[in-house]
Amino acid sequence: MNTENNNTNHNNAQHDAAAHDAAGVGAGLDGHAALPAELLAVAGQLDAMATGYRAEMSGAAMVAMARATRPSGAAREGAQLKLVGETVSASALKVGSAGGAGWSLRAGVVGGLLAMAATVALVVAVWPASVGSKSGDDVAATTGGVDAAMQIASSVDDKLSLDEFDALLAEADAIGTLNLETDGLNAS
Amino acid sequence: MADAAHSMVPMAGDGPSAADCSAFDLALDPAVLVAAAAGDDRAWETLVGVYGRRVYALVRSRLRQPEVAEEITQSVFATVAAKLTTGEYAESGRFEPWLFRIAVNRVRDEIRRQRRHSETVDSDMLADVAAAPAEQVGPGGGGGPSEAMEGLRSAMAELPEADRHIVELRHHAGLSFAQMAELLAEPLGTLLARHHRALKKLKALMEEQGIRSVEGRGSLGRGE
Repeated sequence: MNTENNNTNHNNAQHDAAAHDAAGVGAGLDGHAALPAELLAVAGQLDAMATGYRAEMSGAAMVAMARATRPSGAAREGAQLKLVGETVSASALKVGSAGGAGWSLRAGVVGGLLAMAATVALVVAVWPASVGSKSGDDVAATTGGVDAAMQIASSVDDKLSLDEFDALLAEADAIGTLNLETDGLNAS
Repeated sequence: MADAAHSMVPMAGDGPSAADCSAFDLALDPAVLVAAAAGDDRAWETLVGVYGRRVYALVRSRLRQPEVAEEITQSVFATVAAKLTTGEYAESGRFEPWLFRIAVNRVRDEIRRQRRHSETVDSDMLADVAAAPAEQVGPGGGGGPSEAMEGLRSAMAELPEADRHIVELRHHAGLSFAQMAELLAEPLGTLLARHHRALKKLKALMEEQGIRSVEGRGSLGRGE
């Protein structure tokens, strides 16, 4: 049975090759020049469509995309994401729908937030006594800050509105402040 | 990173210019790929500059929302970056088929996701989407050429999946037939014939819709 199938496939391939030879397709493999005139027109229209699509991507958007996805950044962000204990794809670092140059900016901001969250989470895990020696409000704020960062990490798969993003940025300020205070405690 | 390699290909910001991007003329110097894998940001920008718009065009052909196509394109390059960094791809001259296989898989995932999501979408919302003007769903919005382009797009949508795939890989992704043969694991001759047949079907579909070629290449007009 398999032999029959193989023979059938082989015959089909021969038939296909013969068909394109007969149609004059085979002369040029990587250009359209060998296509019959009637199909050359269709090919040209498809190329025009592709050109239109490509033109939708601006140079600035390309640069932003390159920066947001660069391997050096991906490795760093991957480490941060692992630290916060959330699985977030690198693509999810595109937050919101502003597009263009907003990509790299937002990716950078989110990456920064995750880095801060990772730092706070580590500090909480390694030096609980130090954090606990601060006021109850500060400890609660620390927990809230970590929660906020975790929320970012778990929600970036969905697009955030600008308002939502700004609200999270405001919470991130708290993370940064507490992080600095905790560092001060450790130094002492 | 060899500077010579950088000079041979455009950087992400300045090219290839979308208007005259001839995919068949562009090839990435293997040194750029190796440097990008090693963490050279400039090499990575070059790589994205060479392939970014081609990947986007392939994705955009299937996903009509530009912002979604941008997101998927970015996710493709994020995946490539991660795999290059971890050595999951070692340069062996097969980067383009590998890259576009990732793109094709990502598009399929997104289409599946959208189909699942659409099962719960309110029918009124679907009606709104269907009534949206052409300029919201594609390039060149507006008058006759846009209408004709929309006709071509409709004809593409009516192609059998296998034929459409061939056409998109060839014309939107800009792959050579040899690269397509590798990506699809099919004989070169078969692909040539399938491409030929797909174009014939597309031409027939366009004629049914009254779309015809005006100048032979790149121009569309509404048939009499």
